[in-house]
Amino acid sequence: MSFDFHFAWVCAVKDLRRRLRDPIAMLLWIGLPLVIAVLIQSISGGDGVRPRGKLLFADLDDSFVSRAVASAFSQGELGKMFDLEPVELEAGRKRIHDGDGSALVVVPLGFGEALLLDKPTQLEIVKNPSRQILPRIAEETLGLAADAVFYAQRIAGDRLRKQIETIVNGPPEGQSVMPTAFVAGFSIEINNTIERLSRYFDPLVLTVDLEPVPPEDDSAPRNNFALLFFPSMLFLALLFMAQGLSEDLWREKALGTLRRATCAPGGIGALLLGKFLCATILIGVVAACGMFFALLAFGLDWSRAPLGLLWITLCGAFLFAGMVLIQVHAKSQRGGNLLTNSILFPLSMIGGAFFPFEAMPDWMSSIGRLTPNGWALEEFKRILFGESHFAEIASGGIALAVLTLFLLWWAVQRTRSAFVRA
Amino acid sequence: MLTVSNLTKRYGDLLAVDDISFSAPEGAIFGLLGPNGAGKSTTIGCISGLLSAGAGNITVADFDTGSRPREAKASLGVVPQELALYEDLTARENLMYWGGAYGLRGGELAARADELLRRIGLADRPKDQVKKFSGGMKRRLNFACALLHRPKVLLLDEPTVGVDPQSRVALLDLVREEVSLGACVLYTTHYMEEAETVCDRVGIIDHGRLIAQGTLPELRKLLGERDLLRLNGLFDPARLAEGLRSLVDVEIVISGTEQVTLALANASQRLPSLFAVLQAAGADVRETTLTQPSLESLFIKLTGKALRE
Repeated sequence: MSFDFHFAWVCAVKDLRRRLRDPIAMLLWIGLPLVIAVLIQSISGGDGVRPRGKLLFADLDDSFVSRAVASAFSQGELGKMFDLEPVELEAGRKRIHDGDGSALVVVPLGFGEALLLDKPTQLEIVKNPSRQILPRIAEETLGLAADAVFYAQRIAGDRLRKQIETIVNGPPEGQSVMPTAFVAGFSIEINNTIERLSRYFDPLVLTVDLEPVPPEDDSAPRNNFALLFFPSMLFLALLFMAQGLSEDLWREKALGTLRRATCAPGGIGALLLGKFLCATILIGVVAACGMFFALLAFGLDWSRAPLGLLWITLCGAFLFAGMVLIQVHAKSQRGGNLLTNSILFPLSMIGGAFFPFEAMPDWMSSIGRLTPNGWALEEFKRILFGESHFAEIASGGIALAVLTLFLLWWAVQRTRSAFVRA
Repeated sequence: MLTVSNLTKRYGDLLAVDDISFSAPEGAIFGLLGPNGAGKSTTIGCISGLLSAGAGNITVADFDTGSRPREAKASLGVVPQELALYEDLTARENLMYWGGAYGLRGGELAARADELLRRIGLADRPKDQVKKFSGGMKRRLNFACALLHRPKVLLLDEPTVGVDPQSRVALLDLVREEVSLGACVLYTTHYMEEAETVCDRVGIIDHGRLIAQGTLPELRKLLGERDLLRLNGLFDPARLAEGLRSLVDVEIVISGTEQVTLALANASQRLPSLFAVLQAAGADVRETTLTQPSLESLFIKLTGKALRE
């Protein structure tokens, strides 16, 4: 298949002109996802859709300290986000490997003792690579817990730590229990420490800030919600754009310009390539605006913008090529719309575009991540949150680009052999 | 310049074009005349590359459309039967786009677009969107879009259908201008008068077959300079055929119980003797139409039916 690239560019410019003269359609494609997001937020009580996930907890220490760690995830705000499920270590690792659960927290043997004696120790968190937000929250929570323990140890002081060490080492030689004087002194020390700390920890709970923003910034909860919804809204806009732009083939057919273009030397191949270029440019512009907004609003790292933009534009181009292929297989415009809508809406619903995966039941999000747009959306989130770099998405990106070109080629063949003549 | 040899095109069981051949030289207009569904648009579609020819060869400006389609298409200008314009673009933008489709660019394209806007009388409205134009203005612009690249062969598929008389005259003037500049034109129409006025050679097509072709004088000769006399009323075909044997050089073209069409020389002078025979054969004549030798009368003679039936 040879393309007349000059005619393709002329077609792209022509379509861009036509699009700019129909700003309502453009606004609808971008505005509808925003409206849907706001509606979902309103329906869910104005608090947005709260992400909920399963946190697997392998407690090898089984001490009161390790139980305190577990309780940190099951109370307050975190308790609304996580279902804490105790598991055996190997079973937990296997489940995370299979994609079941947001993260696995492993408390090693001797964790409580090491913590009390201010010795080096560490908690292990195994994150589900296909999830972004909840594993990050779990990770942040453990980081905060570690900080809290550090400061508690500083406050408790050396004297108390030495007494704890004495208890851990056991009674003096020849005695079966600790001396009465030691027990009395330890009790007094504990009582004094608690009295001192109660000013800071009453009740004694671990609180977690979800966003590292200053307390005076009252926009933090909205930011959370918006960050959760932003990738989904952007993908929903892409789906609407891809579908709307693909419909233009029917308009060209009705205008007679499709048949006329077939008679030109560049022919249908160049015309479709031009439409593809136009769609890619428009999608790129919308994605760039979305990315710019996200970077400003959420304080994300600007270095992620180029890769994110490249990825989302590639995804949009793929969706457009797919929609065009569906349109040219339909018998009528109505049939084409019915076909594309019957694919667009289920894919949007389950593929994370209407509702973020984090707000879905596990079984649904597992299926959704297997859909093409679900996979692409997850990759986009990984890029956005700095968990994926160019080398990591290169193979997926190349495969997507090759598939896009194949769909486009197929659409050209179909248009030439049947669509334009029907 | 344009040569079609043994072109055949089938749609399943339907034979749309059946082994037709014709050629049109530089600076000439070849008219393809036939009723709707005769195969004119299919022939144009095969020449323009919109449809694949089932069999046969087509050469456009010495380029075979099968083996050198790109060069053949670049030498063609196609004016489709229906308008093919972007209504949301301006007149000039439409011209610039279709010029770009044929490889024109830059200053050459802009100058050619402005020239054509002048020729079609839209020089004062280049920035108006096409949707604001009248039907006639759209038709002229539709025509101009095919001329930007100065095609050697112009395919005009019923370009004056639904056009007001004033715009029709303007369009036909544009066709003649292109021919005077050396273009070869294939002009399909079902308007007899238009074919007679515009075309140098005419091919008559019906049911996919080219049943006659030649210059207008050559075609008139086929009719033998005879008039057509159409009679409406009540007839007994057998008695009528018997009675007409007594008259010299009268041919029954159509014979029915309610309509009879006869071909005869100098019909107006022979009406008294003819009516005497009709009366003797028991005919009840209610309406008489006399047609001078024309493409229409030739078409009726060749196909046994009127062109607009």
